[in-house]
Amino acid sequence: MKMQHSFIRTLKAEFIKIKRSNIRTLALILGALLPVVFVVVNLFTADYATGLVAQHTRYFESLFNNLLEALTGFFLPLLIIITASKIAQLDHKNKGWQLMETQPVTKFSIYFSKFLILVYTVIIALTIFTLTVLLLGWVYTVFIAINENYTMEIPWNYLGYALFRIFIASLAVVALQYVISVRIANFIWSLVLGFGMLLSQLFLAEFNFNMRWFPYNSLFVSGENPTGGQLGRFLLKGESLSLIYAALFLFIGYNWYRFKGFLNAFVKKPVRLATALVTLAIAGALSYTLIKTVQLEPTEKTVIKGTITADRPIKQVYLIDELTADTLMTMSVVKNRFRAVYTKPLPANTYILQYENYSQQRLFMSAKDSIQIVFSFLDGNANQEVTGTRITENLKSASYSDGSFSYINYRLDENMSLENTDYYSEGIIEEYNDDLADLASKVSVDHIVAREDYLDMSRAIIAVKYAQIWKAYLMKKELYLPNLKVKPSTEIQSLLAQVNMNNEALLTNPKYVDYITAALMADTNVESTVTPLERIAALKPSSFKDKWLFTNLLTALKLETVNGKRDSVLNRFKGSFSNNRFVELANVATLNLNKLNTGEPAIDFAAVDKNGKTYTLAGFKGSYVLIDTWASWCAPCKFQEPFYVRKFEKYKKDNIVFISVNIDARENKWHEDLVIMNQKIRQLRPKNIDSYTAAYGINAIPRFMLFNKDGTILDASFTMPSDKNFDELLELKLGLKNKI
Amino acid sequence: MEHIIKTTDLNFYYGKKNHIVKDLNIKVPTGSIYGFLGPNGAGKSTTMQLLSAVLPDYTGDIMLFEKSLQDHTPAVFNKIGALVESPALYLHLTGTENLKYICTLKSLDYSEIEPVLKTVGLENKGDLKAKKYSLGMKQRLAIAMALLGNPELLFLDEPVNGLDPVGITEMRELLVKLNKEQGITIFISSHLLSEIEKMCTHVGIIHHGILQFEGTMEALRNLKQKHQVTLTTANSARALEVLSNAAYEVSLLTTDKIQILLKDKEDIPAMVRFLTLEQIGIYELRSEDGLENWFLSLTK
Repeated sequence: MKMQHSFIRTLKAEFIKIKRSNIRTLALILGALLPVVFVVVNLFTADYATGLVAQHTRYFESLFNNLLEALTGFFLPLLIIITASKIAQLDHKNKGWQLMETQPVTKFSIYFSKFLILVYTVIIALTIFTLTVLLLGWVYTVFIAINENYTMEIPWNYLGYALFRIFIASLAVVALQYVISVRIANFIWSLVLGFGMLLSQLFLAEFNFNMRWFPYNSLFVSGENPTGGQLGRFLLKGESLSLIYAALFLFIGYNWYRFKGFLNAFVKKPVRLATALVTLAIAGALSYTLIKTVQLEPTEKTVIKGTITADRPIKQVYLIDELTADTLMTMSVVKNRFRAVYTKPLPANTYILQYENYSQQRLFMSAKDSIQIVFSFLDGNANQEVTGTRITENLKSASYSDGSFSYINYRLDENMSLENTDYYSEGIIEEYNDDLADLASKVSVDHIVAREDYLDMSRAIIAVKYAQIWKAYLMKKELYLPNLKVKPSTEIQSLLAQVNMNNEALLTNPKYVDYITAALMADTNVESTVTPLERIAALKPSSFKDKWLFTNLLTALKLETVNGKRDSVLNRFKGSFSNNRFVELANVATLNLNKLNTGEPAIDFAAVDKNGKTYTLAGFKGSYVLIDTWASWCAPCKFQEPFYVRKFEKYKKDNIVFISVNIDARENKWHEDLVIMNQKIRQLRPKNIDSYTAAYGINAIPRFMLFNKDGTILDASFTMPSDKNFDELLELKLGLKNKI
Repeated sequence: MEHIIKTTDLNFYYGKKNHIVKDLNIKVPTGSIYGFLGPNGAGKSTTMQLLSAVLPDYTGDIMLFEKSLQDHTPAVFNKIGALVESPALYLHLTGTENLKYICTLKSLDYSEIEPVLKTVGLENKGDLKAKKYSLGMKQRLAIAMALLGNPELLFLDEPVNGLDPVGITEMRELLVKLNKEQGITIFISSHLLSEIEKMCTHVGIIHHGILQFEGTMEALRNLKQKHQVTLTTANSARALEVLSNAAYEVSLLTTDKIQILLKDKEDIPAMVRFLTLEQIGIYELRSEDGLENWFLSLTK
């Protein structure tokens, strides 16, 4: 009878033992510390939660998330390390182990009741943390006015799920520290080991070095991802791993304790050895499957589907090719959902998903991918989350643009140490390898790595970036040190060999285009007047040539300022395409550019003001006209507004009319916004929005257009008022003397 | 139940080579005060730990209450109180809280605390933190913890370690009282022969892991009866000669000291009279227990 309750008795006795040991107090303090400090500091600075947020943002959820990483990354592990040591020390110091072992309780009860006390303190800390967040968060709102878009509902489900998962993730650390603290009687060593591991975790995380197998890592990852993973599993892989580790550590720790010696516990008797090996094997196998990275398999069909949450109707989603700006597929949105199958070939590349005309998002995919989108557009803020078979490739941190800073490039720009070839070649190779390592370490929270096609493409982009720097170095060397002989090292040679000169997918990358164009021109005579366009046009017909020619042609067309010259450029090269589609696209582009060229007559349109009175653009002839095209859902437009008003005030004495044209689909929205808009600027709305936007090729806002007194276009895409060059350019166009 | 503790061919190794306990056959009669004696390092503490199931992995048999130890641990601890080395107490808790701790582990009612405090003489000291206790009080508290639940068997490992003479006497009197009044069998290990002699009914002597002797106190005394007397005389040479002729066992220590081995303490007056009659002056007479000598010889 008594044996069955051995565990309960031991546990109750442990609660007596921890009286006056400050164990509970420490848990309370470390749990409450973060929210208390955060809220108190912010009560004085009044910074938090006063800025603009998306509508319906849950206040308590965002406060919780803000503080969570610090809790799981530092304070919770700290608590675990100290408390584990304290709990074990209570018995190490007082010969408690022998005392307990001569009582009518099992060794199992002794070992695990103390373990449960440690678990209990973790639960206290997490609970106190949450309650303090709720309480002090509420107190904060009593004193400080937070943004009205917040909702105050308490997200119990969210909190419960996040806390549960964090608790599970902490178990590996709890078990490990407990086992160490019981094993090592010297409390200093158990603290040192614990802190050592915690600090290594923090440092490695700083350098984005992800040690998925490390016991402290799961806690860290769960804190960064309170909403869980992207594969729809209940627990993250790291959390399941934590459970396996906890079981393994406790198995080792308990048996070591029970049999009083490592060899005794695991080696001496065959049964024990066998059990140990089997346990290790099972734990090892399970851990391996959880730790290893996974690549997602392609599916049979190419499917794009998604759900949309928006505060305005989005009826169409477009899949667009980045290079040609061609719409590949139009998807209809029904009841906020869309799904479409793409049957044509689709090479792996970055495409554009356009939602009505509200937002453009990048999407990496290929044929035979199943892409799931969750898109939200609230208050002008767009957010796209991609899951399905291309998770890691579409992670926001994963995009391989060449935007990251290169120190070597900076030195080159400054012309430093040009004579030191080794410095440059080694520096380039080093940064190149760093970028490659960084790419290789990109893993999603569910341990998914990108597929080979994406990795190949990213590696290619990285190779181009550094090959480009080397070429730039060579050019500078020619210029400044023409007598210096340079022999590229083997690494540089292999870097240059990496750059595939025929990679179609990379043609959307301007650096790549520049690189191959420069390579093409490299062997021309200095005196020759041959242009890149001519060289490209002369190449053998291929899909690659078409795309290359097209990008360069588009740039050339844009650079022309006279319609006639533009037409002749088009005519010269349109015969060099093998795919007629490109000719069509080039034609359209030329037409649009011509239409909006300076000096072309402005296409007239009719618009009404808030009282219904009609105006036409032609009606403003005799004055210069500046039009700002905007909508209430466009956050950058709202950003420009105060600048626009300021410019209006500055130039209102001059012969220029400032107009704001609203293209919101819903008229009532415009009326609502009008209340706060500046009334001295003409607030108009086109009678036919679609023909207005088509006429002026408005596919992105804000857009500023300047018209001449005589009703011709001065600049169909004028500088933003926030730009510091605005005044100078405007005065130039208007022929004004410099104003102060 | 004749023997409350019985071991058969008990062997224990520490690591592979250290043979700490060798073929130990201990029999502790129920109701006795059994002194387990041996010099430091003889294997006393290890044997204690084996008997109290703290150390596993031995060969041989240990029977407690005539049942194999492995068959009824840890439930058997309901009938056992154990005091290991210097007292195991939680210093941050009060005396009473320490006792509550044991009560919880043994499923005892807290009402048992008061009587047991009274038994050890700590009635009013229960609410002091254990770290404020003197060493003697700590020992007594530890005994109190061991006494909770009216155990039939007490294991005491060096219970008088560090106590002053008054404390030692008090402890001895308490243990004798517990044995006589409540019939508790007490298994004490110690390296102090004098204490064992004064208190125990039975003795087991261990050295180098081997049981050198086991039996009643009487038997031990009878076995090593020799009583040693050291004399400082006026004329050692003559004394030597005279005593030898009278068939006494005698040896010369120094020029003026001789040593005589007598069968019993009672023979001393007779010997003194004999020497006086022989005109041999005695300056100093020192009497030593042969038992102690024999015991000391064990440590060599």
